[in-house]
Amino acid sequence: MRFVSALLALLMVVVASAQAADLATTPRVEARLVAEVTGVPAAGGTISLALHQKMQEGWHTYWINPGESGEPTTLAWTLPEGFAASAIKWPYPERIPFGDLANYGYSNEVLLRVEIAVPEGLKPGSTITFKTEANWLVCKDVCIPESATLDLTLPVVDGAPPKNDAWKETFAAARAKEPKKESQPVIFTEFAATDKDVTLYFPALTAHVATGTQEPHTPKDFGKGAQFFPYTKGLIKASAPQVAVPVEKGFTITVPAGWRLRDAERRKETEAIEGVLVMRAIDTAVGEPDRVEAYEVSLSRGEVPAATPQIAAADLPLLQAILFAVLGGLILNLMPCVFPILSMKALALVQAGHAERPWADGLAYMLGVMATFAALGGALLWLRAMGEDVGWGFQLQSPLSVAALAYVLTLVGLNLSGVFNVGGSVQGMGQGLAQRGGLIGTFFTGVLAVIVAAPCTAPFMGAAMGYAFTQPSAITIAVFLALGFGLALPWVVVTLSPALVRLLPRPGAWMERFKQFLAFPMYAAVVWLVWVVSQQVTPEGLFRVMLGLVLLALAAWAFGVAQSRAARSERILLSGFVFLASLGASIALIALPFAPRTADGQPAAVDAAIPAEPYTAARLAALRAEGKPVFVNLTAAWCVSCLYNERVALSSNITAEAFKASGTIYLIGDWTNRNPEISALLKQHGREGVPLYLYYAPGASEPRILPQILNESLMLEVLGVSR
Amino acid sequence: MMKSLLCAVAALSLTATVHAAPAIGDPAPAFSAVDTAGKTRTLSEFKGKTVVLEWTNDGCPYVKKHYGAGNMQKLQQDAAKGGAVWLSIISSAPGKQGYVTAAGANELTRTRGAAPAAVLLDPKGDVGRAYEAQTTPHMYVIDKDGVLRYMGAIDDKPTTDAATIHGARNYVREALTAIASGQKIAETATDPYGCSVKY
Repeated sequence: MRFVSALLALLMVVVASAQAADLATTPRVEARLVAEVTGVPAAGGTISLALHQKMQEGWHTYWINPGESGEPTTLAWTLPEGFAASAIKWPYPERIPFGDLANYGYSNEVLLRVEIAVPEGLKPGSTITFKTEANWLVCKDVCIPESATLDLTLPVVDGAPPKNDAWKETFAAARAKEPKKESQPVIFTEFAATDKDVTLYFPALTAHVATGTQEPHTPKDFGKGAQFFPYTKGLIKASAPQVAVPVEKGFTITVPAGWRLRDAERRKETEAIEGVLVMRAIDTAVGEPDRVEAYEVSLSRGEVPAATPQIAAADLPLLQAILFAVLGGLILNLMPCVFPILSMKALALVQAGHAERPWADGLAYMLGVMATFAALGGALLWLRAMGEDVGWGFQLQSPLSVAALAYVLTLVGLNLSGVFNVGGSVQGMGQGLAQRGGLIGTFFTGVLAVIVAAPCTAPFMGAAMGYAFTQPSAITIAVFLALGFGLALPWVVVTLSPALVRLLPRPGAWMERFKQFLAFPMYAAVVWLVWVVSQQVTPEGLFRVMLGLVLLALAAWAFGVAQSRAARSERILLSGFVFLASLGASIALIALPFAPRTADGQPAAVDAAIPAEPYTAARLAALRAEGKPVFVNLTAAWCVSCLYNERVALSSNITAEAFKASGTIYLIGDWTNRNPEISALLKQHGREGVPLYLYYAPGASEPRILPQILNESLMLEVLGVSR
Repeated sequence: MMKSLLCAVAALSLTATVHAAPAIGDPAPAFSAVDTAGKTRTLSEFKGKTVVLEWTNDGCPYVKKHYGAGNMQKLQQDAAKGGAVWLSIISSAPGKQGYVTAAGANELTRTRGAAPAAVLLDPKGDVGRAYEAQTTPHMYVIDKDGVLRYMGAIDDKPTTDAATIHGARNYVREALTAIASGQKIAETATDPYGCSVKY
């Protein structure tokens, strides 16, 4: 009888092994039940078993929280009496992006370890069979649910069972990927959530990531690629890239909230967020494998520091900011934007220089410049106080104001061409300029100079303006006044110095020719402004602007004719004409159909030889997380300095080659129209306007801010390519 | 000049409204999509009726589970009986798994015996992104005032096993019943489950 039961037992074992049921193979996954040791300890204890999944290329299975779709692998055990299986000891997952969405899971292979509690008093020499029903979803572009019933039989042995040589390394690797649990409350982590964002705060990680190296790591070192994987679905948006932002102590990660935290009630109920934080060290040498540490963390609700990065320009002392502003204003004179106005100014100066009080003219100009700068600064402050996110050049982000500027310059051009005169009757050109507008005219030349200067940002200006807006209003205005002072300074100096005035040519008939010639830079400026408008509005809007220009010219002509005719009736008729034509021009402007070009995301300002992508904060974060070098160009169609740099330094074949050779990704942020994401990036680097050039070296926590005037050799140096 | 400038700035800021994530109790995101009959359908045309949105992909095993067992069709019929409009939406991009032409979608409706009011084709994924649809199936219920009342899974059994349908808690059915009887919906949002939408 005993013999029969022994035979029966033997037979059963044979049947099991004949099925080879520790392995199941599908066209996508090779799933195997494996043990870390070769036997079961007779005296009891704990041993590790695991489901090993080896996926075909491109296929993946899921973590406990599968992310935005998918389903985690499950194991249902059938164990002999007295045995018990733990939950799966999940290794930390990888983020697997798929289209717009992202999953948390495993590609290539994964070992899902389970601890089996072994009871005491087993009989050495007998065998134990462990059986599990495994269910998993495996996905590539399609998803296949698969399952297998696997079993594994191990002998009961005396003492500690030896390791299974074939699998011990795989087990060791999987154990290394299990997040460390912290028994001591060293990692105080907190989170704050709104209906839009969740900020995860890891203040005390510095001490903890120090293990294994001599020098303690700063959070920055481990910030690269820091990824938080919550155990629960729907808390954060899994597909949103995560970037660790160093704060005074530790770092924060801010991500869009998932549906659970967007809902007010559930947000209130959420007392803690539990999950795994995976960090990669950035100080590993090239070729050396990434050093990764994963922690199981529980974030409780609390206060998190605002993740506002240091504003570089805020470190400027006031005096230096003012000095920068003056210098910036001075250099602005050399920028192409102001050139047409400066030519006019030069002409006026020739005239005024030989007048009785040349200095009065210089001062009037300066007053005009500074008053306009102060007004612009005030308008900016006011708009900001109203909650508008605007910066330098904001006045050109509206097609309406660009078109209005084109109108003004057209009128100035027509005036120079002699179509009409300002301020009454025509007299001899010789006396004209000085008498005509007088000091008021000069004042408005100053106003005009500032308005047309807007598209240009000079070196030093960016930092000064960035500083200005971090300060109280009085200081902001002071910095703006300093800019104006700098812009007007050369002219005041000339008019104040009799020696310099004497060097000026004598006024004469040549001035009329010169004046007529100066109309052409004006017309060129108008062409350029119309081009800017064409980037901002629909073709119909462009048509209206140009029609408005023609009507305006008509009005100016009629006005000019009226000026030269004495007959009263004729004057009345022409005045009506002027009125109607200018009315038409204004209507054409006001009804301007807006079509902000930001919607289609295509950078309008640049026809780059270098393949570029539109800038978004998410794209930048994703590229940085991937460890790619990134060059960000924040530009606008109305920004002349930007266009200059793009021509000179960013569109040559040599630069293009350097981008290619270094694998640098080129992101263009087009600020021609308002764009809050670009404004935010500007502000982050203490700037209030374009251009801004940023180079993010792979793994660097902060970008390198490049000067506002670029050249080819600088670009090559930045990209790390030698000529 | 300054005033008109400020007006312009204000006007611009109005046009630049940021796309908001769908939220329970808020107006459901407006959409416009072409159905399999070539007709443009919008959410606003169904004002006054309860609307169910179902993201679907015929190749997905989770979708197959509900159609194979007749569960989805039954729900569609019952919704229609209750006066609700059922819109099935296919957001797979051309070339991606689950993309179908209008004719293909009609054929699927026929062979599966499905009863949606319309099947909307969203190959660009605009509607899917507006609703942040993640999975197939991913379900949304919008009330007659256009307010989003439920979003998430079809039921509480996130598996491909059709045996779990019996005895499962069907959140969509619950939401429709609650809306019809003017009661509070017990679960207004749940984790969607299924295959990812193939944008």
